[in-house]
Amino acid sequence: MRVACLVIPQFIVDVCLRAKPSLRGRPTAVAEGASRRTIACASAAALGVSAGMTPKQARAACPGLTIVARNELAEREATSELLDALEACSPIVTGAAPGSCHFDAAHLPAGENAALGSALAIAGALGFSEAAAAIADDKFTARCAAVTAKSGASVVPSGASAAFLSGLPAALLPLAPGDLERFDLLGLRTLGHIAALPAGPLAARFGERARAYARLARGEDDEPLLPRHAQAIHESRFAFDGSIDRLEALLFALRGCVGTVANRLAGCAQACDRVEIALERSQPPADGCLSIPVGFTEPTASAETIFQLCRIALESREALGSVDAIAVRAVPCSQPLPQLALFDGSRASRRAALAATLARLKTALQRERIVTIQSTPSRSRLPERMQRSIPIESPRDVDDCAHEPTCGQPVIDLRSNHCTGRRVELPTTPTVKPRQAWAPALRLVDPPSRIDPPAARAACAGPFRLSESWWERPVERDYYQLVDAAGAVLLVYQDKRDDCWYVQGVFD
Amino acid sequence: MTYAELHCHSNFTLLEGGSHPEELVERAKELGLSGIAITDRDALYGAVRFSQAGREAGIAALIGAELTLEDDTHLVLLAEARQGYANLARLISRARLDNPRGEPHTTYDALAQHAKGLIALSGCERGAVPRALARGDFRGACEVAGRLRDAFGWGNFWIELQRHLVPEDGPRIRALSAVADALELGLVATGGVHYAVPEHREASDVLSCIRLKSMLDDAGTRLRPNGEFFLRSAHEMAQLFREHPRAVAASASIAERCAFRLGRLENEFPDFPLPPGETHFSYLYARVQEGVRRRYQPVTPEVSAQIAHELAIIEKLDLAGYFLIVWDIVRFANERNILVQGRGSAANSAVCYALGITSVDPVGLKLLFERFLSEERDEPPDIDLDCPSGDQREQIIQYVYERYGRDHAGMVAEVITYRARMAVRDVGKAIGLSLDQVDVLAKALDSSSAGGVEEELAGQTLRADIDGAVASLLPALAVDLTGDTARRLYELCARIDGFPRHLGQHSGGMVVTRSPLIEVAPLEPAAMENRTILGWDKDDCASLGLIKIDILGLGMLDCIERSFAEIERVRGVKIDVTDLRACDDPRIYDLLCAADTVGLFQVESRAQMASLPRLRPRRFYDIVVQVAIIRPGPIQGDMVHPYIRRRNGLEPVTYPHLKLVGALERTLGVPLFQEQGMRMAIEAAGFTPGQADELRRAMGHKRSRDKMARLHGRLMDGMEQNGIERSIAQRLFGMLSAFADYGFPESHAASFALIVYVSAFLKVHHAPEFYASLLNAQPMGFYSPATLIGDARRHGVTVLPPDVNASRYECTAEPVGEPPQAVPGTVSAGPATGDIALRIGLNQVRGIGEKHKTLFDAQKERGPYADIRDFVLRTALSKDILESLAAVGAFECFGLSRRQAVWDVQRLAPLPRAGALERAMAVHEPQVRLPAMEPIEEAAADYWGLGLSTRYQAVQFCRERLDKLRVYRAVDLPRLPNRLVLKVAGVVTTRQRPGTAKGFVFTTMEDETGIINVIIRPDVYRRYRHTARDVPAVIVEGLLQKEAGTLNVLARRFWKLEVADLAENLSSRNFH
Repeated sequence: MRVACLVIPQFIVDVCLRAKPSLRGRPTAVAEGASRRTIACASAAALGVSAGMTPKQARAACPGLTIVARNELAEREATSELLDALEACSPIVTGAAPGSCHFDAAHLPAGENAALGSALAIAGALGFSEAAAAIADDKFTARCAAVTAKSGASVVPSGASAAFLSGLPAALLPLAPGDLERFDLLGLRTLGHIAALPAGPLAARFGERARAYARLARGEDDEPLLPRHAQAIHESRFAFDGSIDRLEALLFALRGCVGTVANRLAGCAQACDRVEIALERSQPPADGCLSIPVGFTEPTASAETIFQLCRIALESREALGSVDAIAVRAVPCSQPLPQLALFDGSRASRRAALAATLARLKTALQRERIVTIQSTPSRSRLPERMQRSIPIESPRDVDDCAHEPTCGQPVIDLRSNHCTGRRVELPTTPTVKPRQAWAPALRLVDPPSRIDPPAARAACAGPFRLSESWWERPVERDYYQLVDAAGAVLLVYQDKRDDCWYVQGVFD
Repeated sequence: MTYAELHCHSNFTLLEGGSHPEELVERAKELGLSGIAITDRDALYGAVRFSQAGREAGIAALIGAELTLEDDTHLVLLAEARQGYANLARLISRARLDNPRGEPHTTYDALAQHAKGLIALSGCERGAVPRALARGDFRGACEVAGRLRDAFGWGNFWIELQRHLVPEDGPRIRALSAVADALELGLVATGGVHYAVPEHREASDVLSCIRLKSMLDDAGTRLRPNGEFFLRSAHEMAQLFREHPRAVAASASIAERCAFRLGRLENEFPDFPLPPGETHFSYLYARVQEGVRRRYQPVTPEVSAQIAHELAIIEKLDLAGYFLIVWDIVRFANERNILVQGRGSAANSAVCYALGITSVDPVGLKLLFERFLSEERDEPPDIDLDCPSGDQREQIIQYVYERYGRDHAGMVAEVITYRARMAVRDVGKAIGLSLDQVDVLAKALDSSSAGGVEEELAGQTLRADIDGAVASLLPALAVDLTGDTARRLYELCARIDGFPRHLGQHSGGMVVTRSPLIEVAPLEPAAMENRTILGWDKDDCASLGLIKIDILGLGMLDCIERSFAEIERVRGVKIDVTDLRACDDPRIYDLLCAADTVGLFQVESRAQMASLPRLRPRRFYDIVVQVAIIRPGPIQGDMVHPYIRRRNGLEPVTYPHLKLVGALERTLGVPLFQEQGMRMAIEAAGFTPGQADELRRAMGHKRSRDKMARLHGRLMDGMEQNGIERSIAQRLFGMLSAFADYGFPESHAASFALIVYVSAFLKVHHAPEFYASLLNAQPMGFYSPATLIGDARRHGVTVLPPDVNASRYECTAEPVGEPPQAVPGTVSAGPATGDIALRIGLNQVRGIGEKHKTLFDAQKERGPYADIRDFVLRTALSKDILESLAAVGAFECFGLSRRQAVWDVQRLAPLPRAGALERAMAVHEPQVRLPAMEPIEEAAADYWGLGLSTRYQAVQFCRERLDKLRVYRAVDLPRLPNRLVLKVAGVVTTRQRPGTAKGFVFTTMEDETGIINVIIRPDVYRRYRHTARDVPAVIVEGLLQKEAGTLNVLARRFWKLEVADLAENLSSRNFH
């Protein structure tokens, strides 16, 4: 067996830089976590910044630092893209950790060096500048060769794995915590030292895991290369006898196409997280093909779900013109399909329904306006900071929020829709009582609206003085509960920093 | 309208209050308040300072506290009278003593029992009444208010109104008024003050974050909503409580009622239990006469007169009981064979000497009694007792508790205040810096004042003219030192400089009182078992006139006592300190003259070592001078060099005036001791000894301007009357005031000199036992165990490594067959120490501590271990400890190499916890060949597992490389010419940056042949700060300075010396 390994050390940062090329050369760090509170990786230019820091700490260390959010979706896509591209080198390609890929290097027609050159060229072409690649008899040896090469290509000759590994540090092994220090104390500093030890006594001291250490150290990694799941695009097309311009007919054809595609997906035990509807049009003014992408919040193979979402997508288009043919293309996603629900009413079914609803809302409204409102009464006394909106990407976000003890029953709030001016609220009651007396009955004006100073004789209660965040973004306000001319009770404040007056909310 | 603030938290509401008590008093005076109360939470920590500030400012300073009740609500109590204060102290004490540490709370029953003399206010929004109202429970609020009214009595419980401009204020005040109306209670307005002025709010918020272990960003509503919790004037309060003017006025009338002020506590002297028919004085008199006959042989008229004089003063001041208490403690210690010795000014007293409290004869040394006690002095005398630290000191402390009862004796607290490093750590974390960042910043600091953080980190001292250093420093610090975050850090650190952080236990101060201590001051449990501590520090106790006895643990006494025991065990020789009092062994003075003083008491510092060859002590009084002369006072007063020159005959001995010859004769005309200052005033200005002591104290640590002015006039007049010219008189006054600040008491120096002599005696005559005891008494002194071992080897002591069969738990002296050889090429290969070696104890091995002592002692009794398996099974130690023992070669007695032992330990460690079958099973497995340890690996294992090496010194592994760089060894330096520019290298063992050295840094390095002293000028230190300050091993280029037997290298350049794997386990002792 011959295995090649491609390693991209700065993969996470590189993915972000691919999305924002203007950041190249500038100190950049990637933050991850629910609130983006932890630095996951930093570019070489970000001196003093290391993984595990908070953004504030990282900025204190490197004043000009740009922090971007980790984009795991983009990483998956980049990995997928990389694996797709590497298939030009070998038919069997697999990804390990982010930024680490293996591919089968046996019987390569152009030779091993050429394959490695191609792999590095592919990585470079995809925007990963510092990559290293190596070929050896097994995955571990190939990875060690790539990691130690740091950049460029290296080949470990067939049958020479043990000799190659013997001089390398033992730290390359996937060691359990504490094992490295103990090996060091015993003078076992290289893979050769560990390979030379009898497996039995080693396992008697370090547990069964030590047998694996010894095997790896001897170049006997027997873990096979699993072929990457083949991804075919499932397509179904329906051509009309003539051009049609009625939605009902289009939907009739769409249902048939979707049913076919869904059956193919189910037959392959696959699911998809997006489909594409192609409308072929030959007559002016809209000749050519109109492609309508439809994304889902969760992978599915349900014909009904796919159809409903596609229907909404078509219905939201104002003019589709005359259509000659319709095609539906589904690209199976890499994530395996969860076990399908057998009976209606199960949790999975409910989640599927929620996913469909969310997808429908996203299709009809702006994606970023679909959020859960988390009540955070202990976070601040400022009305606008007493609640936090969390974008909903998946039905799981709603599930997770529902299980958070501080969150209470989540409120799904569709903030004011700029298109329609409507405000839609799903009626749920927060269980955590806000600290401030005014909070429960307050309808926020977001952002606060500037007003003229109230008349001196205006009926009002106050001032209530709030000053927070003096260390970063100071807020100093004198709040008043003001009765306006129409008799409504408003929450207004005078900002002590700019001396202006604002209305922040209306009491129901 | 008048107003008094009755609810006020100082920064002694720890990690919450934003202002010092003095700042609150000062602000109250500025605002024209009629009074101010301190109401710190569950404590009276700041009460003494607050009262003192109130007295000085002439404003009514009321004593009170905010108590946490059993239902987690707050209640404010104010002491109306002395009984009220006693009840308040008792309530706080019980709240702390009867509950887990850090969670004090008071029960309603306790309140009802001890309510007399107290006025209660219903408290802030966390009070029981407001809290019930916040729940909407009006009936509950009335019930709890009624209960408190019944407990304190009508007119003594008030409903408290606070307004901080938050939305809840209005409803709460209305509801509270309704409760007051319903129960016919009075309303009083308070500020709920947490800081004196709005500007102090930021510090208060940061402190709250520190308390909450939170960052500012995350604290949210746990911080106060605004900055309205400051002290307000009567007018502002009237505006704020427009609808309740009587509530504002009520505050002043309550303040008027509270007449109790915390001043001197009279008649708190404890009773000493006496035999029937005896008075304190008669009993003391008999004990003194016994002592005189024992200690003075013959009893000269001079001695009799001095004893009579002292006893007369003691009788007059009614202090006989105090002397008996101290005598009784010393008697107890002697009965238990615990070395104990009085230090400080008590050594001026012949009575103390006769009672066995002190060890040096004040008559023979002509010490001045009035430095200790005088009629004019309005403070109780202060007797400090030194005893061995550890268990024996604890025995003495527990004896005092038993003798006078836990109700009448307690340890004094020590208020731990914010200084630079602690401030940077705590504030840094609160504002969001990482632990690594604050750690690097804190370690970068040299100054102790948190006010100097900005200057040090961002100021010119670090940033100017250090191009290279800054470049290397900043990436390491990983913080923009001039950015906004850093600037905020500096400001906040400066603000909380000196703020109390937590309470610790004073190293040895005990207070004994006649009244139950619990009514004198609040008590609380200490972290140590069986200890209670008084919530005031020693200065507070002194200013209240409480009798305090310091029982101080002295590491060297511990070492001496251990040495004596070890000498008796190994050699069968019993040594008594009294046999050494002649202090006339020339070999000991030779040792001192050669500055061969590593490990000795008091004279082992760099500065002492540098001065010893110049002063060349040849008699006991020379050691007394030696102890006293290397002190900030004599150094700042420029008295060291004149004395040395005169002693070496380089300068004639002159006196400022002929009248002062008697006072200054023994120190060659140079005043060195506080007693000499007093004698100068007596001789030159005709002061009485008591007046002279008053002058000393006026000029001393806490200078009083008024007193100084008054005494200056009296001194000048006196000198004029004695015929001293005005100009000379003025010069004498200047001389006095220059050194009075830090001048050392002669008596104290004499007490210490005796310990210096004994420690030197042990080093000269019983080196293995001495070094073994030094290691066992660690931590103490200037040098690390590694340096002490190096010194021992250079003195020809054979140092044996730890061995599970040969070693005991502690380091011991061990007879060996072969006479030891001095390490070749050492600086001072001392005298061979016979056939006794030093065996490193198992206590030095990483992971082994006091808790293992019993285990090892018990197993030692059972006999030697048969093999490593037997050791593992019998001790059942953890794998980590077994690995440490294996790594340092402690199993070599079983024929196992270090690595083989580590390999075996991996398999055997779980055995003690295995079943019987598994334990009995023999395992045969193939032999494994592990790489043998190289010498450098053995050294690394030694430093890792022991912190020292008995065979190697880190620099020897670099010698080949250093030879190529023409780096000299320590042993080479004496033969090299003066003022040669050379390079030396070594592991840094100590770094000192004395405040009096004008920025000079003194570093001691050690190579494989000896010790090298390096002096770093301020400019060189700035340039190479990182290397000179933080790197464990360095190469130094500098100028060799040879002067009067001392060798120094005046550094010019520094490089890091790479010592491979050893570096991480090398550490220096830094004294900044």
